[in-house]
This record gives sequence, structure tokens and C-alpha cells, in this order.
Amino acid sequence: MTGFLLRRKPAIAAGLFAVAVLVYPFAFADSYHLGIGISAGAMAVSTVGVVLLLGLAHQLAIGQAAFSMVGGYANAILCVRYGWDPFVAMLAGAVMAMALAYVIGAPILKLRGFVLAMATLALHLMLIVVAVELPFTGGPMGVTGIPKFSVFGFSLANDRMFFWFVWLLVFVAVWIGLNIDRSSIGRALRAIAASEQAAGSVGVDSTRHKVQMFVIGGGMASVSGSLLVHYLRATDPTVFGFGYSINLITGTIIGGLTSVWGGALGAAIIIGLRELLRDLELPLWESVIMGALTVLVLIVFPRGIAGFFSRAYDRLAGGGTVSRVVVTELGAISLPPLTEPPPSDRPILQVSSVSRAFGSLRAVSNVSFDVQAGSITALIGPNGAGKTTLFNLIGGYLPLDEGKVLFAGQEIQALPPRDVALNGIAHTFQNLQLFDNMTVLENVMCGQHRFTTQGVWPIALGFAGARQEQEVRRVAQEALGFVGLQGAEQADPAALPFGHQRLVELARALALRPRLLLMDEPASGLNDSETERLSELILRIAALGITVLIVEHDMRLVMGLADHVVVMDHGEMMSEGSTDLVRRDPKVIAAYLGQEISARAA
Amino acid sequence: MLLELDRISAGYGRSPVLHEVSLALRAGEIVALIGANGAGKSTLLNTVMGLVTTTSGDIRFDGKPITRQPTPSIVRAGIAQVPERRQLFGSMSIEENLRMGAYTSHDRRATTAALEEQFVRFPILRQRRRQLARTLSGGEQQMVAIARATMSRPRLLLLDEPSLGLAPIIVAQIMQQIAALRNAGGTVLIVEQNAHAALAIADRGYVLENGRIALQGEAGDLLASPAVQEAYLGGQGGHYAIEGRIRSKKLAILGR
Repeated sequence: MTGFLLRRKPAIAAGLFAVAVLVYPFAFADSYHLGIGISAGAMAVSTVGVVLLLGLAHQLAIGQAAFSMVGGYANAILCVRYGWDPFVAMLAGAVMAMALAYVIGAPILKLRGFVLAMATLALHLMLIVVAVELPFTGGPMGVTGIPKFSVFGFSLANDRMFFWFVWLLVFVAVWIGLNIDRSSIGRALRAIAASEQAAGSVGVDSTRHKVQMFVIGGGMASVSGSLLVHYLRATDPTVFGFGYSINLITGTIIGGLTSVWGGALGAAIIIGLRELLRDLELPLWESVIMGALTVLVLIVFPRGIAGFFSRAYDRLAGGGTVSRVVVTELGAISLPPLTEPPPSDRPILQVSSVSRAFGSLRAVSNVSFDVQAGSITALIGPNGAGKTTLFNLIGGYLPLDEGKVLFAGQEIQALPPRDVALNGIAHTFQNLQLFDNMTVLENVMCGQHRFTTQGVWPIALGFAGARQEQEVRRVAQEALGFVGLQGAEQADPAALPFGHQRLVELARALALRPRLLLMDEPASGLNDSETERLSELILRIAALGITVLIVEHDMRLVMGLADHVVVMDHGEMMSEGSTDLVRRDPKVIAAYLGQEISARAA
Repeated sequence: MLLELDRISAGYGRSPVLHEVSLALRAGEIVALIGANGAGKSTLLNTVMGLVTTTSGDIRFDGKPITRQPTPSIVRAGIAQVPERRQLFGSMSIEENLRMGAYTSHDRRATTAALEEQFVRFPILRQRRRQLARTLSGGEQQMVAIARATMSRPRLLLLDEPSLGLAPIIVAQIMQQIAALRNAGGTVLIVEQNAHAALAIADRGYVLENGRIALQGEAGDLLASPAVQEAYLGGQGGHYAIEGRIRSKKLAILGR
């Protein structure tokens, strides 16, 4: 029963939505109330784009009204001056807005945080100025005499029909949004929000996905603008002013930024509320009351109204979070073999005269070593020796000043993290980088991003089959079983103990099916029995044919596991060789090991 | 008793983590709390600090109840915590980090004196007082974290995994510094995965399993106890026997 109710949640939400849309024009049949419903619907279409970019990916792109303006003006001009069919003009406007979003997307979305917000608002401001100044946009007076909406000559002059049409488009936008939200791209967007570095480490191309959402959101905003001008029958630069942008963002936040339904709900609430306040005929107090209510809603429902209802539903239906996770026996795994087996007689990774300085600090200085394919190689040295910096140079997180890094014979030192990952190098981080906005299972599913080949359009329009996602889920479950976290699938990773979080990260790295696994201090925070278990896990990873390069301070683990040890100190290579050779090296003993560990070698 | 936990149950939301845990510290001793990941060690420290909701039981500090008090008043009562993974203010200098440790004090002269004390205890920090915290090595960061927590001259220091991510030599140094704190009259409750290192400097210890105290005793007795050795000290043969067992497993699994 519980599972049934939880699985049916999207269907129940859609059903409630459909009933409300069908009933509203009968309950409020006068043209004033239908008008409110139409404006709310027009805004609701564009909230979906806001949820995708701002809600899922946390990108502060807030100038969506710029694209509504493109759509609105395109419709006004095409219909009034050239007599186009409004429906065709709406599609043309969407294409124009999407083309604009595509062209400016990549440069503008490289910006982050408030700078991105400023840039998108600047774009909006620029379009307002253009609309005022250009001859064919009608200047400050705008365009009037826009016809009522029609589809290939079939007129929607009846407000009730137009209301249903608008909300049908809301339904389509929400459906597109839900398709994306539940897909590999939805996971990638959440991953970008949680940690762009870790997203790169599993091969997510963040710029590409951000631009995709910018384009889709731009198209939706454009449709929204078209619908609005056909309802108003006129447009001028003030229709799509800053107030429009702010209402749109506020509405989406009130409704719930993390859910696609939330945006539509929020648009309905904010437009409805504004009209209610207008009825009170207190012009002076309208904005004040509106602002106060917004703040109140956000304090009471920090995840928005949809977020609140969604959680309440989960609780009532018996779902909930996993509170205690018990580590299980290490499971079996059958990761499908990689296309090219690693050549076992050659080095898989060659670090050649690599240097990197931070100001005057030479963090890594002329370091060279090879990692043999199939080996377990350990990188040790005092804190601050440059080990993590070297990992970051190999992974592409930092550019190197000099030198080369070769992976399977190919130079990779100039590649960004995502391309390093696509080559088959996986990473676990010293300071864990889990995606805390997803379940444990979804975190591990992100690890397979490089195998998810479905494009954004098939996903958005529902053509992408479910089979690939099922395979991704199955491999993720297997990877969790392999590290001994079977049963933790639905847990919130942040609620797990540190040691278990490390295992989740390891499962995510393995899901990438890497040829080389870089592990940065995997045993830190583990007790002795957990350390021993981890070492067995590393051996089983090596047995799968995955080469392991490990930075670790637990010398029992290093000396027990490693085939080859590289020692760094002050950014330089200090020693290199077998475990027995390194632990007897007087320089290494003095700088790092201390007498006790060395004495154990005897 | 400086700190007493009397049958404390606590946890997050509706899922309890600690079940009727009783524990006590005398002034001037180091007590080690050991146990597996997920046993509830960090939760116990956070419960003392008032960061986790106590569902039943009492916590007394110096005889006065502090159960369910807000964290700032617990800090003012004289308990300081060094959180897991240090949590320094990365973009602030060492000196600024240390001064933040005396944030609740308005006595500038006392703060300057406390700062001087830390620089005497950790001379390396004086040399690097202007350096940003995030540019320090792990061992130096741990020193800053301990120094920051002791700026307010707490009567009880809670340490969460001070050895985390530190090189072997540095672990030994940090543990010596913790022992020195006790020798100067401080009281320390230390949570460690590195049970070997923690019990070596502790006076007494508790073993936490699944949110319950499973064992307690003198640190020396716990180190020698077969049950503790088996579960937390690398099993038979002690701390370093793990390495040999890993080697034989490697031979079995990888054949080399």
C-alpha cells in the first residue's frame, strides 16, 4: 500500500491539477476571473524553466522575462503586421527565443551566483531598451490590435476555451519538466547544484546542461509571453518589465523551487493573491501586504508550498528517510567490461616533470613517476607535501605550470575534469564531495553519467525509453552492494556516518567503470576493523582490473596493499620503490614515518 | 565530577541514536570514547553541546544541569568543542581564527593574553599568524582548531577525531599536545577512530556500540582487553597486525 501510494504520487498530483483546471471556468465563469486564470497560466508556463535552471541546478539566471518579451513582441509583430496565425507565430517566437538563448547561453552561464543574476537582468534591460528604440516594435507605445488567439484558423476567442488551451500548455511544460527532472539530465543538474567539482568528476558537462535548460526555459518563457499578449491584445515595454521577472521568480519560490509542479502552483497563487488584494482596493498597501505574505510563506514553508505538501504526503503514505544503515557483507559485482582492456605490461599513468606553484609556494615541483597498469600504487608524504595538489593536477581540477600527464599513452594534462572522467579516471575526494540533494542511490547513479547517451530532446519529449535508466539503477545497486551498503539506497547521504559516506563516494566512483581509480585518504575516519574491510575492498577493486592510485596516511594499509610507493615531501619526490625499500629509507623515516613504523619492517 | 551524562537518549528527528548512555569525567583527566562509524560518538559530543535534541536523561556540568540549554550558554558555561574535520574559517588568518574562539569574551586584554598562551603552546602558529587557514597543512589546521577552542579557556574540551587525515608523525605530535593540555590542568573528552593513539594518552575510556556503552574502564585495561583489541585495535597481535593480514589477503585475492 505504502509503495503504491508513493509510486502514484505524480499521477495523483496530475489528477488534482487536471480537475482544478477543468472545474475552474465553471466555478468562475465571468471574464474577470477567467482572465486571472489565463494570466496565471501564462506565467505558470515559464515557471517550469525557472525550476529547471534555478531550482534544480541552482543557477541564478533570473531574467526569464527577456525571453517572454521576445515571444510577446514576435507575436505582436507577426500577427499584426504580417497577419500570421497566432499559433504559428507562437512557435516562431519560441524558436527565436531559443536561438537567442543558445547563442548567449554558453558565455553567460559560465558566470556564477550574483554575477549571473546581474548578467541575465542586464540582458532583460537591454531588450527593454531595444523595444523602446527600434522602429518596428512601436516604441514606448508598443503594438496594439493583436488578435485573439487561434490555432490554424480555429479561433479560441471564447475565454473559457483560451483558458483551457493555456493550461493545456502548462500541462505540457510541466510534463517536459518532469521528464527532465526524472532523467539522467535531472540528476546532472542536481549534481551541478551540489558540487560542480564532483559533477565534473563523474563526467557531467555542466555548461552543456546549463545551456540546454536555458534554451528550454527560454522557449517556455517565450510561449508564456505570446499567450499573455494575445490575452491583453496589446503589448508595450512595460508589460515585460522588471516587475514581471520579480513576480515570476517570487511565484516559483513560493510554489516550491525544487518541484516542477511547484512553479505552476506558485504562479497561480501569486496572480490570485495579487487580484485578491486588488479587490480590497488598498492600492497603497497592496505591495506591502504582498511582500509580507511572501516572507511569511517562505518562513513557514521553506521548501515552498508544493515542497510542504509533497513531504506531508510522503509522511502520510508511510514513506520517509532511512535512519540507520547497517553495513552488509561485501557483495559481488559484474561491472560490464570496458571497451579496451588496460595493457598490463605498460604504465597506465605517466606523470612527467609536473610542476605547479601557488604564488611563491612550489606546491608540486618537477614530479615524475609511473603507475603500472593493474597495480596498487601509493602516494605518501607529510601533510602539505603536495599529494592532493598532484591529484588535482591529474584530475584536471587545476592547470599545471609545467610537465605532462599521460593516461594510456595519451596526454591528458590539458583536459577538464569531465574529459578526464570520460577517459576512465575516477576520483574519491579527501573532503567528501557527495551530492547532498540526492539519495544515496541517485548519487551512485550519477557515477554512470558517461554511459547515459540519451539526448535532451528525446528526454524532454518523452521518447527516451526507460531501459537505460533501469540499467543505470541496476548497476548503481550492484555497486552499493559491492561496497557493503545494500539497503542504504534511499538514505540521505548527509545523515550517514562519515565512514559510510566514504563508501557511497567509492561506489559512485566505481559506477563510472574506471580504468584508474584515484583515492584521496580513503581510510581517514575509519577504525581498525573498518580499515581492514576497506583494504579488502581495494583488493577486490584491483582484482576487477582497475588500477588504484591511493594517497593514505595509514601505513598499515599502505604497506600491506601497495605494489609501489611514491614519497613526496615539500612538493618534491623524496623516494620511490617497493614498500620494503621505502620504509627503510632514512629520509622517509625522518620526514614522515617516524621510528616506530619503520621498526616494524624488521 | 566535572561532566555527567545520566541515562541520556538522544537523536535526530524520530530516530534515536543514543540509548540511555551514562558517562562521567573528573576534572583533570582525558577520557577516550571509541567505537565504530555510526556508533553515535559524534552524536554524543553534539548532544553535550546542545546541538542534538535530548529525549530523556540529564546532563550536568560541574553539578549544574545543562540538558536542553542552547549551545551558546553551554559554551559560556565552559565547554568547547573541536568539531570533526576542524571546520576552520578558511579565508581568515590564523590569528583571526583564534580571535573568533574568544568571540563571547569582551575582555580584550584577556583575549590578547589567551592568544599569547596559544602561541607559546604552538610556536609554529605565531610564525604563521597572518597566513590564511585554508593554506595550512592538515596538522597545522588541527593545531589551529585546538587553539581556537581553548581561546575561551574552557574547563572541558571535546575533541572529535583530532587525528583525522594526519600523517603518522603528526598524529603523535597532536596526541602529545593533548596530553600536555591535561597536564596543565585541562579536562578532555576525545572521540577517536584511532583507538590505539587515543587510549595511549587517555586515563579512562568508554566503548560505544550501537548507541550504548558496551565497555568502560581504565585506558590501560581497555588497551589490554581482548574484546577491545578484537574490535578496535586491529584484532589479535595488536595495532600493526593488520598490515600482515592485509598482505596475506592480497596474496589470496591478487596472487602477489
